[in-house]
Amino acid sequence: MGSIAVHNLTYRYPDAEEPALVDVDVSLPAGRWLLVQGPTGSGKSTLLRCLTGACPQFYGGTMRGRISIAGKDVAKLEPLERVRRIGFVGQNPDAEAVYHRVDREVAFALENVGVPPEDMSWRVAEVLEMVGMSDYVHAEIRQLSGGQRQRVALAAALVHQPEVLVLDEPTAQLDPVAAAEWFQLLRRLNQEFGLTIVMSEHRIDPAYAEVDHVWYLERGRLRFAGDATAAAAWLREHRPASAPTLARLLLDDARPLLTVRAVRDALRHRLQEGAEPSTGTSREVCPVAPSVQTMVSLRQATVTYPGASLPALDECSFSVPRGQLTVLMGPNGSGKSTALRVLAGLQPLVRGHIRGGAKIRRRRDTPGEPGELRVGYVPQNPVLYFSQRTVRDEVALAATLRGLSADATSAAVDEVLRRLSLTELVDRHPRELSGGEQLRVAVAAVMVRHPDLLLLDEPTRGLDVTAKAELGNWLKQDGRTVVMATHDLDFAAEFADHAVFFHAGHAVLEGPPVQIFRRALTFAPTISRAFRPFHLDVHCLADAMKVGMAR
Amino acid sequence: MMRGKARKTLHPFALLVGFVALFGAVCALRTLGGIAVDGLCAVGLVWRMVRSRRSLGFLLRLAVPLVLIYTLVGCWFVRPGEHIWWQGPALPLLGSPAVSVESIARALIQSIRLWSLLLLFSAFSEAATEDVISAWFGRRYARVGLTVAMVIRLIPTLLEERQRLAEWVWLQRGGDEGTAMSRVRRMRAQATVYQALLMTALERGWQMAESMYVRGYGHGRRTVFRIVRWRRWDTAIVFGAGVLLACAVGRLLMVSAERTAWAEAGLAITLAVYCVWLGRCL
Repeated sequence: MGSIAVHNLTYRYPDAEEPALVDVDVSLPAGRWLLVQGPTGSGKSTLLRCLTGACPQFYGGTMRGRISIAGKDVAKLEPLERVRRIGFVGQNPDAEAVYHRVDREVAFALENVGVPPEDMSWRVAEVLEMVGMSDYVHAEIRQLSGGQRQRVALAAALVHQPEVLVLDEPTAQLDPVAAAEWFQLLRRLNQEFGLTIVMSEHRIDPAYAEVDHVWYLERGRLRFAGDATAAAAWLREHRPASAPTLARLLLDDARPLLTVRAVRDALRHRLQEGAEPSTGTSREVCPVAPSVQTMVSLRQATVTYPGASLPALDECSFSVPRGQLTVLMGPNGSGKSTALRVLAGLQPLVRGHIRGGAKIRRRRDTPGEPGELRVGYVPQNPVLYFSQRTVRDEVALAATLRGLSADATSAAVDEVLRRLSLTELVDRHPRELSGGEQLRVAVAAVMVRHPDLLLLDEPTRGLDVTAKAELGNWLKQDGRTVVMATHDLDFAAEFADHAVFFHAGHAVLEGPPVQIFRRALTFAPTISRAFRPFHLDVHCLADAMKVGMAR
Repeated sequence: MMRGKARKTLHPFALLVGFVALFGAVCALRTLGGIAVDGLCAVGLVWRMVRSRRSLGFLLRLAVPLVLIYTLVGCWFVRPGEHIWWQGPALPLLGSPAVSVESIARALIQSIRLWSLLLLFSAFSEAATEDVISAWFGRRYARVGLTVAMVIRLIPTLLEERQRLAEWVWLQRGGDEGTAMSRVRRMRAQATVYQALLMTALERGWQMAESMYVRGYGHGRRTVFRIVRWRRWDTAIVFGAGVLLACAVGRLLMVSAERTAWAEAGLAITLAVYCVWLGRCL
């Protein structure tokens, strides 16, 4: 029931030069929770597709070797038998939903496997109760939050009671609270119902605290397979950048610690029991930091979207310091993206005003009046905005649309491509690049205009550790003024100079990230939570290194 | 909480019959008073459906030019009565247009009827969700129904993405710098939006197809999840539709002027009551 065996699996997509998977040979006992880890483009998603049967039956291509569930070759299973054994949740529930209503969407797999209509209702009711969505049985999916949509997708994958649940980066669109709830739900499914779970995930810290096994892939090859602790030890030794953050702390060289509690206990042994936090700074409420040089600020900004009962921004005030990286944090729907749109000049204010911002976009296709700032805006999931066939054309598009001459365009594009290390990719199709490369292309397309203010909406989503580090280092160069909305607290702790915490359309806290992370419980990086009783100022690995706790 | 939203409980076939009866009744009304009642009912139904002042305001603002233009143009081409105000020259194929009090009144009735039909169609399209449409196709044509439902579901998504893309292109071309745009550059910007939209739509289509494949679509015989059962109020709605259609037919069959007035009043009142009733079920 639910064991997985991969035998010398090699898979090549149609027209691909290199195979996506090469000689993968590994197995997983039934009822275990597996994390498939690896850098972007390492073959994680392909392995999951082979498991669901989408490769090669749906994608085409050639496959050697075999992958089996409970001893049965997936490629040879009857389609309906395969569906009964496997449930799948992708990373984009919006694109994968077939129906618009929750109960119909959940029942879709039951319809396909021919379950009698009289059996469907109780199955749908049961699975919605299990994922905590029974109050939304008649709701429209597009009215749900990201976390709720992901739960509906999970219910749709579980409704036919599969043996194996396959998840491809399921928390990519969730805030930390929703992601934590998601992991709790998966833990319950795994422990109480004995479901075998196979998951790829970039948010590896919470994943390592839960999973039993880890398979680490690199360029299509399996580099490591073992239990989570052994995997963390191996990664710490051989791929330190990809190791879980907690495992990189120098608390126990032999056995990496994977949970906040374990790290805290180890710290307690190491440091004097009951000692006061090692910083003299008190935990008083930090006032909104008066920025010495403010580039742009929002004052009492209120935005209400048409048809919405509540404002997206409600008398929101915050400042963006010049030459610094500002992060906007907070739960999903708290107003971060709306604030970015206001700064970009895309969203008019109902009340309040912007000081020093871009002029508001007045009408589609009508240029606004001259603004005080040139603003570059990279929205969420920039791949959706790519329209050209090569990276060079995509980057050149902004210059072309502005009416620059061919020579000026070429010079501007060459400079930006060089600065963003994209020169080797100029002839590639932008939609075929990895997540980190696509983000760089989107940033390059914006940088052609030499913006004074760079706005990024969830730029680290779907990026591996290396790509995140590259992005952070690049953003910190040349004294750029950057504002980014993010759920990635570890990234914020490492690179941000200024942070604003949003809740229900308000900027409720503003100041240096250190001050916010000292006070936050859930919205604090993993390391902050572990070190809180002992060091109030340790929020990332760099901080841990300063106090001698990391390499 | 979202549980049990009332507008979802009307059976798709009862909904269809109800709106067919409303359309029939509107077409049977002939007097200005009757058609005015019909117009108010249609506004009320749309208000009940959309629940948005902005949408309703848009529909009402649209009504003024629609009714005005239709009346002004239409009064030339309907049969003039006795009190002719102005007689135009003879036109090929159209004869000699004339404007009279009667022709203006008739054109006004026609314009309000057209507007009411448009409003009812708007309410109907709001009520006819993807699930309702796929139910109309039944089990025999379930795949066609599913395809139609998916296409309908895709349209608002594409419109949202088009808006986002237009904003992105607007910023990319330096919208905040006040640069003047040549027509060629405008066209280029538009083309960029639709290029990206097309590519994204294809990618979305692919993702959805994969999701459907993985969940077993296209293999073997499908069953259909019953979204709504036939209930008592569905029977009542159909019965009411029958009564309304009977009134409409009766109105059309009346010849005597005195009886016509009573039939018109009866139809208008029945229409109003039915509209309120249907609106409460949606």
